[in-house]
Amino acid sequence: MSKKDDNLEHRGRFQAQGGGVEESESWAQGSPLSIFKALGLLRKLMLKLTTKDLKRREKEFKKAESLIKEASGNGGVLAKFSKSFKVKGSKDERVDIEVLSGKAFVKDKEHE
Amino acid sequence: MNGLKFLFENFLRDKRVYVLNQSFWASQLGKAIPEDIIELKNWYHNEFANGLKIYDGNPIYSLLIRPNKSIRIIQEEPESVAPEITAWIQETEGNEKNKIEELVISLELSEQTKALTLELAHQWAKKDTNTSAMEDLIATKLKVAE
Repeated sequence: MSKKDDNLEHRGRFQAQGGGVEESESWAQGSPLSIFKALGLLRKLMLKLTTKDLKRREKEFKKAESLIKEASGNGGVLAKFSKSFKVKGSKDERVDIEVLSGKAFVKDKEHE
Repeated sequence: MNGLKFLFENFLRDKRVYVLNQSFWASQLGKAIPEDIIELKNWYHNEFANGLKIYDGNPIYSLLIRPNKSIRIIQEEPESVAPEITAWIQETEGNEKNKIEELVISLELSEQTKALTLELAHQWAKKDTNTSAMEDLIATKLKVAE
């Protein structure tokens, strides 16, 4: 990891995994990830999926979005934070939230 | 797995049951995994930055174990006719930005899914169990359980 990367202490990723899907959207930045950016990344991830794969995970994306919104009203979340929203009845189809370092899902005015 | 009774069935509705349920996992996993290889218990913060705890079972318990492995247990609301259990391995990151291989088990808790979870966790904690061997074991054990 370069010296520049060492300053990016707020890192994490959203993932859509399982059932042949392997897509993600990550962040690495010097300040905590805002709810605005988080929801943007989540939507970007949704756009990477086929209509069928997105449909399969519709509820799980909604759960992820709700969690991010709830977090922003409670100061965000701190690493290590990990949630997997699994499609009920599937083997491993899911939407993951991972905060690997620092803080995420803060209100927009708390930074930037 | 038809007809099996759910354990801690009200864990998402009663915080006292939830806390007991967490203690249950701590105790059960404590018996399944040698203490000397456990680096951190409840590795993940299932709470918001203001300290408000999240009582959703996702995860209900987690462990960081040596060398470079972790276990994350997700307990879901019991609503299936037969208690569900699935598992997978995923790559994540340790506290020193080191690569960690994580066993994730997602289940509705019954005696049978508890036993399977503990068996998988016990095998995963062994130093010589790699990802490939574990994925084979998951496929075998959880297929039998269906």
